[in-house]
Amino acid sequence: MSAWLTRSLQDNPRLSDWLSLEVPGRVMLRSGKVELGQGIHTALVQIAAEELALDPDRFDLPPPSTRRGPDEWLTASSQSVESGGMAIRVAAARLREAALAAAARLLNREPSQLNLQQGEVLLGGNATGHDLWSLSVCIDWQQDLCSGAEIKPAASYRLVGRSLPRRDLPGILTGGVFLQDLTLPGMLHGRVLHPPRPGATLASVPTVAFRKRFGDRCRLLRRRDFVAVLAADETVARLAADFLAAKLSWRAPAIDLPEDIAPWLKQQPARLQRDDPIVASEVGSALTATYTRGFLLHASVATSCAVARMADDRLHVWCHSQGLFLLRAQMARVLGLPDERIVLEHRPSAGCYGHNGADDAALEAAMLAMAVPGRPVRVLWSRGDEMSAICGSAMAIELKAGLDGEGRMTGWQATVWSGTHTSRPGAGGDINLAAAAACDPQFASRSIVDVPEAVGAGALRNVIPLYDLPAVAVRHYQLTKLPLRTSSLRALGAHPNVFAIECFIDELAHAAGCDPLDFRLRHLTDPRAINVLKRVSEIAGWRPDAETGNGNAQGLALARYKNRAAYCAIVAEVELAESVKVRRVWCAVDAGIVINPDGARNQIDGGIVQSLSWCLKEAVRSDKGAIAGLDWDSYPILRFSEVPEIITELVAPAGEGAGEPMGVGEVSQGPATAAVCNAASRALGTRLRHLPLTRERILKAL
Amino acid sequence: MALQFTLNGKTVEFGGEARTTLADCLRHHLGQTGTHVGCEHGVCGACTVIVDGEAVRSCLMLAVQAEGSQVTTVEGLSEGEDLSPLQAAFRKHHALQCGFCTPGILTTAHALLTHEPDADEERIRHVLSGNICRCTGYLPIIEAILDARAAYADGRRGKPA
Repeated sequence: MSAWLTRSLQDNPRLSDWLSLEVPGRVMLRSGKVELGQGIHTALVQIAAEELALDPDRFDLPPPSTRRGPDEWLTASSQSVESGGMAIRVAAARLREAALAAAARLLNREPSQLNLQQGEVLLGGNATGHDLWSLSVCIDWQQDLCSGAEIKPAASYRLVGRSLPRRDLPGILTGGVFLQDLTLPGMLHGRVLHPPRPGATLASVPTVAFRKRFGDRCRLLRRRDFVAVLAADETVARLAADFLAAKLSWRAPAIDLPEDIAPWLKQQPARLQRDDPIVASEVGSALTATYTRGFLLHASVATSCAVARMADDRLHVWCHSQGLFLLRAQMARVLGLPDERIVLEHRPSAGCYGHNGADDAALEAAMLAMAVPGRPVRVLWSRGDEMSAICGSAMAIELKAGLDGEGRMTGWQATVWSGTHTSRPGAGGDINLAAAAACDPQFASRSIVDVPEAVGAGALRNVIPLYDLPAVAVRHYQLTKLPLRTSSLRALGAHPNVFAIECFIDELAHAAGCDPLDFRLRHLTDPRAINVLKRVSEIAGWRPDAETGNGNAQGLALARYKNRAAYCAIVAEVELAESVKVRRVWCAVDAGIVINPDGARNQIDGGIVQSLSWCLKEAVRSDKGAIAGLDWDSYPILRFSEVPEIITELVAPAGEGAGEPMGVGEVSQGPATAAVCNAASRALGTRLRHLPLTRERILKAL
Repeated sequence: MALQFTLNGKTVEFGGEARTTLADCLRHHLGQTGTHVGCEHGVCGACTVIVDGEAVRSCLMLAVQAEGSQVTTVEGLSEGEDLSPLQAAFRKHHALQCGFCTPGILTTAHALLTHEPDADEERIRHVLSGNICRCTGYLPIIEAILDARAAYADGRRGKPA
């Protein structure tokens, strides 16, 4: 497939899917990729502005909506620049070509004699009286883009590669621009009483006590296991939900997550999903180790929210879903409405790191709105709902590798136990929306599937080491009946897999009596991987002769996201007493052509900090048969006082594919955790293999 | 029940539900939705507003407790559409990603620098440790606040940058 023929372009092949000229002097750019705080809309405008040689301020980019698309599936997997950005590049380049061709006909010139600057067609640097907007009627807006376009060479870029300020910052810095801030006239406030965990059923609802307490100030709605309250005043809705939450009786299976999660994971019901044959001699005199990560929460600062209104038989929902069209298809099934009578429109919420409660909240708001036609209904989740709905799966990874007499790896075997990394709406043919299943058991999820390997894999994302190995075999146990709902969380399986691989590589280097940097370089031939690894070791001042076991150490890690996207190498420096303190982190990333360096750095550095939080603190715990971490006191995350100095360098790309931009939102999590764990293990003088690296675990290891 | 307080320099009145938090009062009754509610338990700091010069959690405070007070929210940090020096520093340093936690961080930092325009990095980190940012732009946020100190030291804090 040609690099420019991305899925975004194939699914939305018309020029009019991406661009239109509705207001003189302005360009309307459309994208199905949603703004999650990653600055994607700024980067996409930069790409279009570059191809059209037009000031970025002259572009409008409305929030994605199902009203007209484009349908870009999901904003996920660090694909927005790679796939969506490329489609926009081709569309903008084609608009430039079409405008110049039209002007050439009118001027009786060759298109090559003309150029486009700030929307005006110039001939020999002089105005011709034609511009994009006057030529709009001559352009075939239905033309198919799949044959490509003459895109500008990277060497000519003026806007791409510059840190233009984010378009949305002034609004965010001065007031309320989030979905949670959307206020419509006559809006009612809804709260849904969520079951404490999957499989819970409602035993009883104290209807009489509720009426006595709230009278007509708050309405109680129930359909089987779906219970919600609806009030004109949010305070009343919250008080009513709190009142009910304390009194509702649920029948729920107990959940008991042990501290040592590997044996527990291995005992869960599972399906053997992949089982590669391996010749036993290839792993020869083998080293074996098992690594684990617990269940992780999204713990976004905002709670999930949606606003819906049913009017004139049409349902309009404002939501923060990452996949509007996928969600609409499932909502249509549940609500019994045809697709075309449902409009989903994106509004920003707080940072989103994968499949959180956004989709569930959208259906809940829609169900409540349909109960009060004409009135807008806002549903907002409680903090406890947000912290118990969906998590990233715990994983156990058992690695086995052989070494020959020269200290070279002879073979590699990975066995992975994991829950699914996707239970998004429609995955596996299931609806996968909590309220649907609560109302009607026929809507319950039945199949457990994971992200297909062809689109980057879920549990097996980055399971194959980047290193040169004569033989690699993978065994994958897909856990099919976990007591927690698991789905996509930033980097999916790449975080635990890279953590395990890069820690195991350090163990192998130690067994081979070799410096971890040298050992890695000895097994690498990819020049871009070698480049970031060498660069990070230079800026970090990596010393092969550094002492270990004395409480201070550096650790190293490397990965290429999905083994086909951006490269990232990290050195972490830790100080270890009873707990791990990360003092400094150095990072080198090769992401090909970077559209907006500030935006990329923020994604990489933010990814590092989030990863340190996962590595040092985070895992869902249970208490008395229930999930324990329903707020940030019981599920602590990294705070200002604990953030290390971070030095990130975007390495100039070189070699094959260097001109292609690659997403960076999920590149740093795996290497950051692995580098910290390697550093802590070296500082301690003994290997740490289980996350999070809490004080208790360190004391135990001591 | 009717109570009065000063919100961003203007006198406002509120006569709703007695158990209304200051956050709900600001957001739903007074239309100032820049104050965000992240946890409803005073843990995340997103709802921080300034009451009589002190940074407080508006989700933990009842509206009635603000009677007669001077309340400043993120909407009151700047005049019109101009950014204050602190807001401008956040923009310059790209000190946010999603920005949902930003209003609480801006008000916390504004209260701190108003009292201590010479706060050093350690002090800033300590005070901001009550605010959670998950994205996480912690380091640029600290750089932005350090950068904004000069404007507080010479009294330009309330003026547009």
